[in-house]
Amino acid sequence: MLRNTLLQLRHNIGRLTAAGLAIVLGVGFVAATLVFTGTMQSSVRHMVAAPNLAADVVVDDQVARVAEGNENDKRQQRLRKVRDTEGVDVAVPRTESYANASWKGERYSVELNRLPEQQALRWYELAEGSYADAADEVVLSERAADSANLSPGDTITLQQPRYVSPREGESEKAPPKREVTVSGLVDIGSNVLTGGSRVTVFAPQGLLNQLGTTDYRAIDLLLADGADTSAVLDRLRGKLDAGQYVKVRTGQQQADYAVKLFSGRVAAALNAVLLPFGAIALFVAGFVIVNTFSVLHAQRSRQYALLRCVGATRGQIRRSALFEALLVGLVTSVIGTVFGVLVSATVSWPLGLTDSPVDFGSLGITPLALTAPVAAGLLVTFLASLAPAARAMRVAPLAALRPVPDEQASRRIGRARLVSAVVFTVAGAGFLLGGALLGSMTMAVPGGLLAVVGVLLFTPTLIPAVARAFGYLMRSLGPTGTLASGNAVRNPYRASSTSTALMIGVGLIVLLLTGTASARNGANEQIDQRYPVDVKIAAEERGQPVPEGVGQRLAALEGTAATAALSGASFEMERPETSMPEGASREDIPPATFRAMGIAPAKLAEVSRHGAEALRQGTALAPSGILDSWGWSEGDRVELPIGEGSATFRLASTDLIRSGFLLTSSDLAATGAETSTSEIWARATSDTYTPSYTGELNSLAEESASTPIDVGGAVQMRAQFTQVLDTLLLIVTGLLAVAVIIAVVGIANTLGLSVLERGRESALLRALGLTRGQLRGTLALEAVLLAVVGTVLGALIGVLFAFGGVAAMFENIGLPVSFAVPWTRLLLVIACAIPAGVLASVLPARRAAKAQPAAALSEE
Amino acid sequence: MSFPNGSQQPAAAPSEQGGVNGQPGFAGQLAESVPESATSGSALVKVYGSGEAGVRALDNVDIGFAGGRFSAIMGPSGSGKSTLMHCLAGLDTPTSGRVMLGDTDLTGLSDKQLTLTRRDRIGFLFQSFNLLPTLTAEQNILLPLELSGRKPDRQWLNELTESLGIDQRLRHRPSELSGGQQQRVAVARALITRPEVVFADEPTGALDSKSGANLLEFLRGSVRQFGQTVVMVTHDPVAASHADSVVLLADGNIAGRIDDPTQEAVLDSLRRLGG
Repeated sequence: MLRNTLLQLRHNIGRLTAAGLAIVLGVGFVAATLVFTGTMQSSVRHMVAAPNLAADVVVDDQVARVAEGNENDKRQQRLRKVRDTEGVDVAVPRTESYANASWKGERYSVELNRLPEQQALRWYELAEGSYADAADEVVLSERAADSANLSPGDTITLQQPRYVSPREGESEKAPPKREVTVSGLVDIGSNVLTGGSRVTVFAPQGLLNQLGTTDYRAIDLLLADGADTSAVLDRLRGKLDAGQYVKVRTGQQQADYAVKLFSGRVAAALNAVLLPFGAIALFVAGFVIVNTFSVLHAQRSRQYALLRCVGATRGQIRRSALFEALLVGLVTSVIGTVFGVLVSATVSWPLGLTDSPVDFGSLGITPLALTAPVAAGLLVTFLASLAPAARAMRVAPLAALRPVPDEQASRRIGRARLVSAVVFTVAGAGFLLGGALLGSMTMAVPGGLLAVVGVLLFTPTLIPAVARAFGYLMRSLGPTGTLASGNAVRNPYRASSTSTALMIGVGLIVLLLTGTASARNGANEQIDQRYPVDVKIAAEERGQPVPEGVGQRLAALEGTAATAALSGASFEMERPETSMPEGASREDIPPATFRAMGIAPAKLAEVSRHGAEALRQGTALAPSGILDSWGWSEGDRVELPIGEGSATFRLASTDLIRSGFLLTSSDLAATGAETSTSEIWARATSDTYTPSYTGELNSLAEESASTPIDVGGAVQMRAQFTQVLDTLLLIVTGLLAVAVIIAVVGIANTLGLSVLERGRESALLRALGLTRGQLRGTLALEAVLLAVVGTVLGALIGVLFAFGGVAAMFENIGLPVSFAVPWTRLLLVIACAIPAGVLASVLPARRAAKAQPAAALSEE
Repeated sequence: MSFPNGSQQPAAAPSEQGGVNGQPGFAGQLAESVPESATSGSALVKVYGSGEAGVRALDNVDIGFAGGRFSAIMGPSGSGKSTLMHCLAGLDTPTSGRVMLGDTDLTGLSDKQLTLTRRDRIGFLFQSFNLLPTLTAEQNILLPLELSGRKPDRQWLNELTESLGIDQRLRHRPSELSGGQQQRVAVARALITRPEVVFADEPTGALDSKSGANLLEFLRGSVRQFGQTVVMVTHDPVAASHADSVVLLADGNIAGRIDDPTQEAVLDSLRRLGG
């Protein structure tokens, strides 16, 4: 029996190619994910351990870490305490911060770390140049600097990110800016925490002081020669009140602790994101496997009957079928795992995780990463082959003696299945709808899953019915259309599992497309509401005027509907007694600096989308945050000390500005304050994201490099939001593409196996005068039909489910439901089904067209 | 099975040369008289495989079949009769030699031209009916016309299906028809294009004797009434006795001819070939 199974398998190896490919792709995905996340994790481990291992003792000081701007003294005090401890030679605060940097006319965000003076604490190797010794020198991380095209001798400008006041609306002076020279590059390994692309700047303490970067998260200690480590640890613990927030550990302990903290976290989070896509790919591959074995067993039914005639038991037939499936599953899963490892090696290299595409040593190949994909592949193959094997087992011995039946009567969908399909679908849809209406995700999500199961149970009826409907359309294409539509639904189960595989992939993609379109729509509505002005240009340095000519250039851009220049003046103001924080005295809180801007109400109406009507003569508009924190309310009359004297204004809240006050231009002029062009506002012609306009705005900002300007407003918000969503969508679609590719392989598979079955028929058609081209066309149409049915149903279900999900989610977070169907993208997805179908038919059609009319007819 | 008085002659049938009641002469004409044959082959050689293992299925065969006659090709298994028919019908290309259909030299045609020739000028009947399971009886019959984009001649369809007794079964699919009915659908399909020649490969092989006899009567009738040319390959002496003439084939060579054959004459000759 075993020998027979193996012989059969060898004989049919060609027919298993597509199923094998499906498993390889699915298993490969899982393996690549596990190896990749493992690699990330080991890289992270190295990264978090290295800085700690350089120090003898590390003080992990959460108290200092959370100390706020004004509590600098507290930090210094604690640092002094550590330094004064007996046995401590050196104590260096470990600063790990961020800064804005610019070089070669571009602006970047960089990591800003302290460069210790002590060689022992420099846990990296100098790769090029020398270490910085002056306050105007820095060293950079080598890899990122290379990709940013920076080398020793280059100058960069550093500035702390703008300090955001905890009290909204109060402006602060811009942090100091320093121009520094790159003295050298250090190799810090690959830093996945920042995607490996962000430059890390190591700056001497002097420079950090100048930049105002004084916070630290830990203190690295080097002990004096001969000091007793445990005694020092005890002394430090006592002095610093070690407990929940302050830990004192040796470097090794701290490294172990940091690794433990990270261990599993990165990999687990990434796996949680990526592995579901692997599961989807394998699930879809399951459909291809079911089809392959169903067809294979049907073709062998005579052989099985013969075996039964000569004494094989049902169990033996079944075992033989399952053994065959497991063997196929094992071989292809192993190939898939190897494939996955190769893929992750290729992916890890450009990300800087490994040194070369064949640097397998640095890959995080865990035993789990090698066994789990194989197990998953085996499991899927086994489960998918259960039903076909059960059917093979049912062949009656008598079948061997009868002539091969012409056409297997199409099996009808079972009653139990139909009933459960209806129950699941209706109940699931009900819950989904209920969840949508009540805004309950806990109701909508299980409802959606239940409905999916229902629809999947329906597919053997649903898909042939839809295919027949489409088939009527194809009849108009002549005999090839008639033949193709008939062939496509000949075996409803086969057709349905072929299209279902595609339906799942497309359904998920459409679900995401619709979901993101709705999210974008909702976000745009929110942005419109909160940012009534499309474009706001201001000098990057607060209080500076907008450079000359920017307004004209903005007005000249295609896509700008109207512009207005706002004059502005700064003024200082004391907090009213009533709004003082509890226990604070006037001396503690310096007067706040505000900016008042003026614009003519008519102009404002041109450049804002709403809120302009509130601006009248004698009114000062302010963001509600200021009103709240200063204890004012709308309608109050307040004296604002703008200019020489001061004027009284009626207050009203507005979304037009984020800080300061907005007056009419004549009111501002009447104060006699010295003004300059403070901001330029514009309204765009389009109220949605327009890449070209955003690009124009960005280049406008770049052109004005001498006096850097900031471009803000709704246009930028929409652009940012759309870009983030589109990037996410692109990544997720890419991940789902594996499932779709497997589904298309499945179409080719079904077609290829059917072509083998229909060898005689193809030959007959050729004998009757069907040209090779027409035969190929018939198969292409059949494939297109299967693809279009799967895609259209997937799109339909995706949109419906997205509707439920979006409604539930928006309700849940308390936003007005905003549902958008991305028609263009949807049509694009559906249109893609046609070339995909044609592509899937290429190989089967070639094979079918090869059939010699005579040869096929004469063989009995 | 009866024929309506077929006033209509198959347009494509070359009837000048072989009249409906043409005197029974020789079935196989010689190569020199090729133009007068509806279908003929000269110096046909067909080798399967190559070298030592090569099998010569046809060994320099010269043969022609007159138009408007019902001819049979007989011979034991492996005699090359099916190969001969496949070559004549343009289903297979001979290794060497020439095949003529009317005035057309089939050997020089491309695959596409051959396909179009088969579609428009040749009809086929097979042992295993070979109907397409996804199409109804009517769709099966009209398939060759549809493939060539020609409009079906409704009257001709009605005449054929009525005389074959399948006019009530046209909406059924092959799986809903009996073997005899399926073969009659196949006959209608072979005749619907009014082909110059109908090639039949063991058409009665899968039928019971009564259905088989009916089918042969019909084919004979179509020759008599419409001047149809029919070439049939069979190993059944009873079937062969319905033909106007029989060509005997053995080991890839023509081994004899019998005109107006009777069962006994055919059996005799076969016995001599076999012995």
